[in-house]
Amino acid sequence: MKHYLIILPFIIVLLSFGNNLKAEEFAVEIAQHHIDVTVGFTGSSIVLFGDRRDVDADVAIVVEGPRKDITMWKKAKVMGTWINRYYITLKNMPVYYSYASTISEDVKGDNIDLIMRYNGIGHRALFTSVDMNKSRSVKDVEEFQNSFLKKKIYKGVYFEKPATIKFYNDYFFGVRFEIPASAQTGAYKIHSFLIKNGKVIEKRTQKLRVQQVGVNAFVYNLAYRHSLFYAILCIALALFCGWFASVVRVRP
Amino acid sequence: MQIYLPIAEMSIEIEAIFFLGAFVGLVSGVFGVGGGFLTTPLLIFMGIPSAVAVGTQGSQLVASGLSGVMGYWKRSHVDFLIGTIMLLGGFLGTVIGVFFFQFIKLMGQIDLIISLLYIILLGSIGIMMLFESVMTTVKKKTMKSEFNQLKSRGFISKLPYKMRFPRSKLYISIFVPGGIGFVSGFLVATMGVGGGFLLVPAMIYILGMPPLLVAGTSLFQIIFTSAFATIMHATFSNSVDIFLAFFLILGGVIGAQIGVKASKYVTGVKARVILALLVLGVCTQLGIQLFLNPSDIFVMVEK
Repeated sequence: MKHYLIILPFIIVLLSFGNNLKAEEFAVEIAQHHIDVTVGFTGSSIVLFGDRRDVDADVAIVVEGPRKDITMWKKAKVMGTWINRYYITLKNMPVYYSYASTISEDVKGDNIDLIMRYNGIGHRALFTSVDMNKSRSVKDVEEFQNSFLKKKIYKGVYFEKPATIKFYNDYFFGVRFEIPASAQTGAYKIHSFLIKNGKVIEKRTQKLRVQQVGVNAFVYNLAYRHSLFYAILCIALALFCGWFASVVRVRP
Repeated sequence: MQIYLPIAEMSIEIEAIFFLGAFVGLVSGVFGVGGGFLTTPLLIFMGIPSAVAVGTQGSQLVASGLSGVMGYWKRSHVDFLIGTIMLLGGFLGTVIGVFFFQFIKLMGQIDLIISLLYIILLGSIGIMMLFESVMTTVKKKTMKSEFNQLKSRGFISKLPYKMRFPRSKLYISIFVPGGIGFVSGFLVATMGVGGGFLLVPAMIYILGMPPLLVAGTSLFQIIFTSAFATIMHATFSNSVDIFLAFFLILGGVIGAQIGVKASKYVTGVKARVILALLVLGVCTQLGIQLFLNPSDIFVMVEK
């Protein structure tokens, strides 16, 4: 709720602009352009507000995290031991993915499905144009993909159901995407689509950084940029603790 | 209290880490072993990535090694010369261990290899300890006398580059302490354990060191070997989490204090039987995961 209050003056500005500039068919803005991961970080959310002029057009929003290669292993029993046997590598999969759309399930036609897949809206779209390596004997790729989604949903970085787009009136809407503590840091992208008659008529992309700040950022940067110094710091800390322990030791 | 670990990149209940450290500290206080063989699997059970669990464990070993060695140093129960030869071997073992670790990580088999290594190590040590304890109670005779003959008749006495170690009153090839150190370094780098339970018998039975000097000397070399492993893990795989290390060490320090007090009530054979059962328990738990049907046959690995 806090986020909605912060954004209130901004809503008013956006609304008035929307009325004046007829040319602006579609406008979206995010409440914050960065999410700060502090020591006590337990999750946050991305709040997005938008305005569409055309009431008949559908809105779809996709939030995706930085992309990484993911290998899915399938275990098999080899000599009585369960080992990772078959794999597929999905190239450039977002570490975080969430979406919302006003397209209702019952009007989804082939055309809409195609648009969704082409623009990366919905979970199935993630696998449409993905580069893939796999072991030769893998035939059922879909079971690997399903398991990938299941694991991501379990981790809380993908979502079973799309987020809801809440309309305040016919034009003005807001969406909230949850960012769990397990979400990885990096550059996030927010794609917004205005879809009408089976065509994307407007597309906006915004960026948002999920970043460690304060002590966390300091430690992270030190560990990656000056790893030797960081290692020595770790050892020094350990030596100090060890020495301290021996000083306060109770004699048996 | 939830705390976000900067290197593991996950949020965790810090009390859980603290109590894990305290439990392991308690065990090490009671039984006089490092307890690293418990920390790494327990961290992995808690969801810490295995690379971070192993990498971070090194700095915990530095702390427990130093606090342990201080007492022996004051009583001059440390053979620095043999310890130095051991840690040179340890450095080599660490380098090879870290590269082996990276290699199996690339192959996607890290969980399997780590589990297998643990099962082999813990299984053999647990059974050996249990066997020895039973033998001592039944026959009232230690295994030491049998083992002592090994060094005289074995090929060990034929190895080249012999050196005199006045403190331990030994004249032995540098490859023997170097080789023992090598194994220790490899264990620290790949499994995050100091391997005290392997080093101590090896130093007594294979090296033939005076038992009085063994504990201090093995701790002395563990400090340097695990410090080196920490540097290697931090620079090559960025897998050392200082927050995680700090809370583990803090818990460990407190746990060890309680453990030392508790050790008065658990002594001798009884202690060794309990420790052996504990070791076998962890071993069985790891074995179950490997040999029983897994609840999910898919594994996700992010690069």
